[in-house]
Amino acid sequence: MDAETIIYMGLIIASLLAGLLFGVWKKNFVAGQKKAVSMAITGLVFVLIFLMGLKTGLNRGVMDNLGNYGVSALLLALGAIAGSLVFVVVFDRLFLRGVPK
Amino acid sequence: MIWQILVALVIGVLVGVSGLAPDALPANLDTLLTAVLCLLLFVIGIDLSQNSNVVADIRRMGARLLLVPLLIAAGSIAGAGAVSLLIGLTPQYGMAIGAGFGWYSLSSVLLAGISFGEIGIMALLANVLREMLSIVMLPFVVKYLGKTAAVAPGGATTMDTTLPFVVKYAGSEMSILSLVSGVILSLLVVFLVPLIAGL
Repeated sequence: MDAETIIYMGLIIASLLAGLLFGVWKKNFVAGQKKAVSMAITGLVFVLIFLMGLKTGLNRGVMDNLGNYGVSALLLALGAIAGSLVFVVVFDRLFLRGVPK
Repeated sequence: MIWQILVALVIGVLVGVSGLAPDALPANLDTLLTAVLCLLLFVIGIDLSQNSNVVADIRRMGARLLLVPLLIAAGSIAGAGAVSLLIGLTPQYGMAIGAGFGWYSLSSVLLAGISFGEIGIMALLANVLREMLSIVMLPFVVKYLGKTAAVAPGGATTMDTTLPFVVKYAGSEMSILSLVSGVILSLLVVFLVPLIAGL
């Protein structure tokens, strides 16, 4: 793992922590403020997903190879997702049934 | 909201493919993405402070916090290994691709040297698709399989790019599990991909 990745991870964690501390410092928000926070998340989520799409669209390695390897890659992705879901859900149901949600 | 998200994603891809994006954008896209992500995580942090007791949440989740990412790792590798048998790919390489856990940039580079680059390309595509698919299927995962399951599809990406979507659909109390799981899985990618691929 290179220095850039470690700095990136640190930035991610620091941002969440900073928001958390800011919120704790500001104490309880009124309804209007909570709504503003919720709207900001929704707005930024759309910016994020658009940029993620853009990054993928600009990635020649992805776009040029979808034709030849797309189906296999899709099946591998679905397999990995399904496997992870099965393991987590089975564990959750078997061992954590009593844990309050 | 999932349809609007899908539309935004498709528009993004199309703008990227069509070359409509300003020339200066590709070089600065990663910086822009990181900035948007950090801002978003800051706001999610505020939301979390108002809607849950983080210390109590962490205590309630207890061992789940560490076990869930390990289950996601085992499940991803097993699932991708099973699929590779179906599509005639060497299971060892399929499992290594699965161990990318959605971190496509790293896993594709790590696996670039195998079979004339073929495995690296498949790792890139499979893990890009994992990131995208996990976002699109999240509402259904939460609805039918529960909140804890929401962190599974995204794998390592629940630390950053898919965290906001986990929060959106499973609630801000899942943000800590999402972050911790994503960080642990990201660390595992670094070790597991070369190990499984026999590099």
